[in-house]
Amino acid sequence: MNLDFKKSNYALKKELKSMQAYDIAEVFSELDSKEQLRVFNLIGVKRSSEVFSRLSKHQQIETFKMLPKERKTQILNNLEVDELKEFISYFDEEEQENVLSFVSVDRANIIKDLLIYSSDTAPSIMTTQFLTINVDTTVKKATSYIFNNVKEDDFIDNIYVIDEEEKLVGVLALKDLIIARADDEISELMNSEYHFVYSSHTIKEAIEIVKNYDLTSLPVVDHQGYLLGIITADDVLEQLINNYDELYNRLAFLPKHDESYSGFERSKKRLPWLLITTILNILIAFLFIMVPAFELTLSEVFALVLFQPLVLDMAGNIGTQNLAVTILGIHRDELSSKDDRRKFLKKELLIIIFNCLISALVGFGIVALFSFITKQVNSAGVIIHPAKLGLTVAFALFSGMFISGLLGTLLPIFFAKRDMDSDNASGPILTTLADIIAILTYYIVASIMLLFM
Amino acid sequence: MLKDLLAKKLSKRTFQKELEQFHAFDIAKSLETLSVEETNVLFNNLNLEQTAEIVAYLEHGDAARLLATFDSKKQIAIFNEMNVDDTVDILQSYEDSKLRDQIIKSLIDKEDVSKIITYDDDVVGAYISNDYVSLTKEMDVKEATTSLIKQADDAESINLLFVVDNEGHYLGAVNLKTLVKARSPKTIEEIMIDIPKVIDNSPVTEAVYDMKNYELYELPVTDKDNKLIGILTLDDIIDIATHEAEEDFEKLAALPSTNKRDSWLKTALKRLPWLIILMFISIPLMTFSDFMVASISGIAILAFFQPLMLSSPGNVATQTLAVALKSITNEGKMSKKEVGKEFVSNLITSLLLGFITFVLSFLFVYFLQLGLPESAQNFSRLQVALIFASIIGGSLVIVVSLVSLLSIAIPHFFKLIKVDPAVASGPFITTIIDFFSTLVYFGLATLILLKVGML
Repeated sequence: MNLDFKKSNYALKKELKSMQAYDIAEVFSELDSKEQLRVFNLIGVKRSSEVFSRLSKHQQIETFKMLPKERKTQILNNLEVDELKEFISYFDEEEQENVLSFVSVDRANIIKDLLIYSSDTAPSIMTTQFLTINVDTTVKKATSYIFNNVKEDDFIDNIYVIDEEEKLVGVLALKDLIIARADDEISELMNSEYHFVYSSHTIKEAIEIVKNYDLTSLPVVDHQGYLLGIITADDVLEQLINNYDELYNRLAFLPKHDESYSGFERSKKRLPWLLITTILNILIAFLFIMVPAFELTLSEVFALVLFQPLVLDMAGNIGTQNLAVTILGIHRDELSSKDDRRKFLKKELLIIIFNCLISALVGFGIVALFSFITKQVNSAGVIIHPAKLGLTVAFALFSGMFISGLLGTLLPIFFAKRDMDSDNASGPILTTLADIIAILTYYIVASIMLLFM
Repeated sequence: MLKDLLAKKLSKRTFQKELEQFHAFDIAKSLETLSVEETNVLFNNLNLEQTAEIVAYLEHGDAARLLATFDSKKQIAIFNEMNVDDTVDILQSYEDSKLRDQIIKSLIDKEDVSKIITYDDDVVGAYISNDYVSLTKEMDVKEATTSLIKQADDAESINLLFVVDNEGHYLGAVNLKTLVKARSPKTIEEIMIDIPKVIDNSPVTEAVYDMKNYELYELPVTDKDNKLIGILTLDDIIDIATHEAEEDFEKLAALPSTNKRDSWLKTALKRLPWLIILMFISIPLMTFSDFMVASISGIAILAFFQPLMLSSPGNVATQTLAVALKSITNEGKMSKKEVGKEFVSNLITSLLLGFITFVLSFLFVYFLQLGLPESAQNFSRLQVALIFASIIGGSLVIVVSLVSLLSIAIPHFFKLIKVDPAVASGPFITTIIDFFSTLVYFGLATLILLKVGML
């Protein structure tokens, strides 16, 4: 969708009105700051903050910078609490104070309270925009209280019921309140066997609970039983998709990716480990050249170069498969206990050995047949026995794939146990080590088989 | 624990009461720990509503197998307590298609079920629920509130109330908050807002991203004539999103979906086909290399640098592929702007990697003078180092700068010929890139060495 800025304000306003906030946010990065301001002026304060909340992190910071002072205040004060908190958390502490100066004092205090929680705990994705009623109130009073006090962004699918000490005692579905009779007791209507998380729980645990029990919201309470906030299912969906995107990128050794990054920024982010693997590969090439036996073998039987890609790729392929299985297993919390890990490792080990064996066998067949048909010769012009080449490749395939599969399984577990970000480390280690082992075996077996036999 | 409760041999009523402290999800999860006998005791003591709830939380195949142990009358009664979308999912897993058809005919929601069951499981229609509140645009707000209270009990959520005309065409939605604050006389049409809908035949991934981007709890679904036929609810979308995301993830690694409970041999056999296919793809590559290396045979240094030529471009290609596949799943294709950014990124990367490779290989060749052809003796050290550093560094620049084209074009090509773009997995793209590297690397080497007269 493209916005035409040559249009009159009236026509443009009409067009913007027919668009969802997300759709406006999608085209926002292509507008210059003048056009962005014009859009904000035309769509009003509430929608401006809706659009703002849907911009990417990068774009939010850019746009915020260019906004005039009063617009900054309006937009920040109209963001939902959890959105505002997320935006504030993009800045360092000093700047946070500065940005918060645009926000009303009440809101700023709520945000400051929320910022205390670390970014992987459940409270970090909760919102404080919900309604509570007292357990002793009547259906009629509760209904009129809710509809007189509800604000546009409040979550009211569930109403939270507290006792006189203000501790959470139940969750009441708005639906049940609406169809209730006037003389029903709140304590009878509400669900007192509700699910909740403590503020010390992780986001992942909260997501699992919402997902498994099909909840639309999940209360977060402290250890005294006071309600701190709620996690809503729409935020869970967003968090869930983001988590999987991260996992996906990790598998491709792709550092944190955002569509708004320019080509230059992308290259800069991805370069470090590409650089490491490239340099390691160069060093290995020279190490190999310096081994006289290898060089001799290669100049004798240059046909070895034909099967290098096969050996290297297959090591990489099984490594990738195992890396994926393990990362997914860790993500699903299937490998958290020692017993689970032992069972998992045993199973994977059997799978790796089996698939390496079969692959080596198939590789032997392919290479032997290929060499037989193409009549590969050595430097003296004598035909090399196809089985010798086949065996060389088969041995290299088995050892290269075995090591790579094993590393693909062990490295993520190793890094996860040490709570390290495996994004940057396991990639280069896995690919480079697998390459070395595969090629090393390849040339050792080749030297033995072709020079000395 | 459930097991202890079963051992107590309580009366049916007390048992059902006691069981209320467990969530259906937890009971469903612990079913596999129960013996056949215990399972029988459990289901004999449950009422239909409880049974339906538990069955709905089981894997569809497990649910179908469990239900098959009951007589068909009980099966029908259980389905009648269930959501239509769960009913359909489980019925789809029935092995006995005759029994399935017979059951559908006797269901209360037989029309909805027989309609939804015709959808493929990757389109929106397969997941719709009919538990929503619908209003017509002419209703006065007071009338609408009465209608809402009547319908509310069966609805999954009443956040949004959907508005249709007399023929059932979808018009928009009313926010509950707006409705209760509105004062009569006012019609629904006046307070109605525009909420995006999806068509029943759209891919489910589209619905997942609509729901996420528009931050909705329910998404209306219409047929191609704009008739409202149901809604998607957020809890279903969360399950679908999880499933789709895991599938995408596994596909990137050329990994078939596996079940934790499968034996090691079964799992190994599932993963093996892709490995074998990838090996067969490299047969043409061998033939091609055989042709390419004919002229440079015996020059060891070129052979030892081949792994570098394969691995670095492969890594860059996988990164760009991941970006491309994500764009295709989310938006149907990659925007020109995204393609441009990836291209620029890889261009910069290629220049830097190429430069470093040039410098390092220059130094190594200059000082070591190993693995070179005999004819190199006719050249100075500097000349030889320059020649080989140019071949190695130059090829890397060319290959890495151009891999974006392949890793973007290939998934798009698959989509064009209606093959799942995700077939272009990391391992697949790496193998394809090898052809390209081999062509450029050995081609450039032959060209340069011929030109300087070293061959």
